[in-house]
Amino acid sequence: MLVRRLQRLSLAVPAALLLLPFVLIVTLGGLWIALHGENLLEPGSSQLFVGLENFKHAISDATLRASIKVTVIYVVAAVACETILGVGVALLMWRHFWGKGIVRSLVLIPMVLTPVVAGLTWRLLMDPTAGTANYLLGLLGLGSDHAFLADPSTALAAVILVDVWQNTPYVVIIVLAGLESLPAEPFEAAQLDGATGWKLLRNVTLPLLGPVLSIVVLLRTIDAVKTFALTQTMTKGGPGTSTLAISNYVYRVGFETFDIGYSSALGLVTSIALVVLIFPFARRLMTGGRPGPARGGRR
Amino acid sequence: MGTRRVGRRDVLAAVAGVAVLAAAGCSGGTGASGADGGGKQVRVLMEDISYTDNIKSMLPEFEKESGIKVTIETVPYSDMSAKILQNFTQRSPYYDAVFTDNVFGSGYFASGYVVDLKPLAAKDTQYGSFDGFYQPYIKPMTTSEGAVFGLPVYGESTFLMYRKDLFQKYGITQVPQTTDQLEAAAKKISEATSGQVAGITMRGAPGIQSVYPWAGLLRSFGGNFFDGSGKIAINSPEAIKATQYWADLLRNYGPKGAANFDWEQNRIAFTQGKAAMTIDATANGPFNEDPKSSTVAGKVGYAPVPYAAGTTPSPADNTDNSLNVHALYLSKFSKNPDATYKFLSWATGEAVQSNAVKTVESVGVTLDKVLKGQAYAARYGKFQKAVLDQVSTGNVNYLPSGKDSNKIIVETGQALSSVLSGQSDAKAALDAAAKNLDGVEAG
Repeated sequence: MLVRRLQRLSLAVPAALLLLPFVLIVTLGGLWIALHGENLLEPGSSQLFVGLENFKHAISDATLRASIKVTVIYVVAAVACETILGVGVALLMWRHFWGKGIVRSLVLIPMVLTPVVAGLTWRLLMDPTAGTANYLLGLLGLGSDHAFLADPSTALAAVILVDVWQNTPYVVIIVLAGLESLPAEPFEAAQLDGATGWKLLRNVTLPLLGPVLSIVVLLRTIDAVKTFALTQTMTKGGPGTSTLAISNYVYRVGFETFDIGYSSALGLVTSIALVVLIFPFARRLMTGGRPGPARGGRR
Repeated sequence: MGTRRVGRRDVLAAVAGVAVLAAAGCSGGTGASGADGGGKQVRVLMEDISYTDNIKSMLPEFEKESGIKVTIETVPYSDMSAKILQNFTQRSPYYDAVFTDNVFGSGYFASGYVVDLKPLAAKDTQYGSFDGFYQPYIKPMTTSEGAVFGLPVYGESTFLMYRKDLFQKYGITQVPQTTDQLEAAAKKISEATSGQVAGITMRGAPGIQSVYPWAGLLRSFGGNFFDGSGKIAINSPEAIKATQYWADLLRNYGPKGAANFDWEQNRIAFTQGKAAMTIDATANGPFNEDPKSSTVAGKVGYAPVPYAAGTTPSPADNTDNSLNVHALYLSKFSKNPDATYKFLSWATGEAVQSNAVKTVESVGVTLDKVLKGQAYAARYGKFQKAVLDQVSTGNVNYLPSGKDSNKIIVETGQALSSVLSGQSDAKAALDAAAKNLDGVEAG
């Protein structure tokens, strides 16, 4: 048994040899910096050992707490909206219709734009004096001087809206590919049993789509946690801390106040937290509930 | 077929031969650089701004005259400090000189990254001496020990800009001299136009954007970044009052979206006639008066930043107008300090500055002779006096300088943004910022 396990483990050696040095060097390098009080404006400060001072500071840092809250709201709201909308649109496109190829390409446009371009474009659209969004709202009689990005009650929602606009196509494309690769038999069987519409969707389509959906949600979550460019270009994290995501805060500490030590500590803590939170989730998603060949055969 | 193959080989051999010769030639070239600066190379990192464009356009003349080859790289001001520090902390000789404002420059000198220019200036007076600069501009580059660590390229102060036509139309006879009068004027115009024209506009975006004009009001109310003993004082009663005043002014009489305004958006709001007043840099003057892009050209008056009633202005140490000087600094790690100094003194010399006044946006030129010359008066006469007055009374410690300056500006800017957006009240926000800045002292 032990021999077999060792044998199996040995298969991972080449990959580990290749990956570990990179992961180790980067992590240990980051830890080294985080344990020192390096400030770019103070020559020699990179040698100043401060122990866990930077980590202690992080625990009592109110701005960090605010940025964690913003990031959590951002991730939950954006990923939920993108998944629901994306699956909806994919289901609508899951049939043959004239011009499907063109529609599929058009849907991709927001995704192709870099977040900086998308952020700046939307910032102009939402401008309170010259923006198209306010002009259209004005036509509908809903007021034409909303400063969406300058008001803390709407700024985060506005940025999330742009994230949804930009990333829903990703969900659409992957889910549509998933739908098109589904076998026809379960649907025929269910239809013979009299399932239609909502029942068919809930009991057959969505369960079959499970693995695809989990991967989409996982990838979108990882991506959304790292959000930076949209918030930086649209609001620079303001007003106040209302759109200050973790990455924006880490960037600010590192590249605006040049407190490299603290910035590395923040980066390290965030990365570890993310791995700890996402890893079990990812493992379950990747292995559980999937009708893989071996297990599927036994079921 | 055979001959063709041989031919190809010949070509390859020839190419290889040329490459070897070229490499040898290159190394010979660098080895033979002259002792008088001829053949030397200088690389400078500069702000992407009109003054740099002017220097670039005249560079061939300098290169021909001196035999020094100059490479200029540009980045926007906002990315400047990160790029410069990366160079300095690596002790890299890549850039021989850098270009940024006194807030950072004084920190670089304190950190030993840039050198005292005095010994170099004593040797090389071809393009002028320190005496030629307008005194208020060279003073911030001079330490109490007498070292001079930068050559000023351009400078600015801050002032109040107001619409003379709107003041007349709505019966405001006195240009605001106190903060109460400022608020009353803003209120009057905002209410008389039902908010169509905002009473006043100022930058509200987090960070240096809002801190720069706000610092004027901080001083108007008698506040300062540091107390008498050099400890951080941004949560002093005066600072809280100033912040509350600033936030109320913008919330009640400012344009929608001011909380995200940076310099450009604020300038556009004013030059498009969407606001009756603004407090910002003297560099805004030419934009107001440019009939091609401004709808308010010829209608703008210029005045000092108002003080709070009861606060006596003390021009010596706490004036409420800034003095910001952008200068060229010589890197300690430069391998060619003599040639670099020659370039710096040429780039800030009379020929270059006179040409700037003729050809590019150049309200901030720094030589006494050019600033007070006819060409300057002909172009900037509408606000020349206001600019010179403000610069000569400007406060060089208007913003915190030294190694912690960025930290103070970022923390204060964060607090301002929270107050302006209503997320937090002035006391709580400034207390939080002061707590984060605990231990920071005047640099």
